[in-house]
Amino acid sequence: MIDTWVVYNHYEQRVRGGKNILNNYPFLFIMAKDPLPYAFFGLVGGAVLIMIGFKQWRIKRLVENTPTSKVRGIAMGFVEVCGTVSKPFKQYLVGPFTGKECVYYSYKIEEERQGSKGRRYWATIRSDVQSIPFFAKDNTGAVLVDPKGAIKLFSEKNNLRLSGLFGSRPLRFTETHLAPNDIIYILGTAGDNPYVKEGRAVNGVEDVMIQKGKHSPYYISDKGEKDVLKRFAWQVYGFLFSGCALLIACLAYILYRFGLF
Amino acid sequence: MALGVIIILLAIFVLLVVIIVGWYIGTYNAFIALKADIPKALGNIDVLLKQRSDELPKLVASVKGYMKHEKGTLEELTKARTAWMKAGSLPAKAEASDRISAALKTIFAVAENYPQLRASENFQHLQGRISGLENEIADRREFYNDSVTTYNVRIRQFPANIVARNMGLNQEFELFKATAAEREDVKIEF
Repeated sequence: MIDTWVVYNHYEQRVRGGKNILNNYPFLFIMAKDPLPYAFFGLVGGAVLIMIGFKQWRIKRLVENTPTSKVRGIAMGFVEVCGTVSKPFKQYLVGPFTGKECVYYSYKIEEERQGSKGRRYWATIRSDVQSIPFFAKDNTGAVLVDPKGAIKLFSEKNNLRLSGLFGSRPLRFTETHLAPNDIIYILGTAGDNPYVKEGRAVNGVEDVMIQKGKHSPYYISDKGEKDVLKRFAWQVYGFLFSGCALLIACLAYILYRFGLF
Repeated sequence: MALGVIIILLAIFVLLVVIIVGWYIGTYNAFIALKADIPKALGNIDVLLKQRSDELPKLVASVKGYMKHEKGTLEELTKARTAWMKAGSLPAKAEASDRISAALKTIFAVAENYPQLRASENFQHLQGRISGLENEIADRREFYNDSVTTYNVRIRQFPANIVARNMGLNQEFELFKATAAEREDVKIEF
């Protein structure tokens, strides 16, 4: 089937004086006119989606099976905490577009562009993520949380999205932040608080900080536990179903092309 | 039937088997983690009980000069501490721990009658520390009960109970319950 493949190596020929790039990057500049190679990629893609589905299933189980700790009673190790964002450990961050005091923000600036086939799309021209250690509290106390390394599951409610013509360019600004009194769900590892000297803590939880564990997952969300679970459940069903569907569809097409139908 | 159809049906069957095996392995591992969480939660309560036990001699030393008429209560606290340290089984430990809590409650209630004791900085510090530990113990007991409930529910839930049965997980763990003495109202005489 190799005669149906077209190799786009004009750029490489121009830059490297006609060397065949297939020796170095066999997949980079290969495009197929025939959908058959894509069907083979689809098989691999389907298997990858199924594997992601299983991974999300494991995390969903972890969320389900980990009891929520009260902040006052947190023990060292893997913990789940539900509460609200309190104050930062040092100084607040300021949201770049909202100007709101927060402990975490991410933003992106996108520009509307036109593709080669006339299709319009938003391209990110600038983005950044900033976070600082902060306290999470419930009705029993407050504990320090270092959000570094956490997978953040934030909802649309904490988003700000502005779009319009800025000068002659159609731009879109999006900011997501975590501000004081926002609901917070944390699944992470309670370890030593590096900011408190050993034995100096007045109460037990002061010398504890929730952080990323070496081999355990770390999630922070601005939703409650039920919503986090719902999100994982949808991901599990979505990945498993779409993975199976893609795999079967690609397999059916390959079989059809080889005349087995 | 065309060969292609047979291959597709076979692929669907293999996918179903993969999902079922994946679910079985996941559930098996989840049960192992759930079961391991229970002794860990219990151990975490023990850590705090040990800390509380370490504070008791200091408390007795700080109050015995003032509370000469409450010798019986202080003796009960000391005996309960010794019983807790010697206890080997979980019920014996729990019983001794409850006796310590009851004796502490009485000491802190009676301390209200001794203004000089209440004014003592050392006593205030110890009272705050021990009360804090008592609250932490209560929270960790709650956590233990949550861990046990999750485990007990999961081994009974269908279809996970099939995996639990194959693993021989039939025994439910017991929850921490408040003792009769803990359920009673504290009587404070003025």
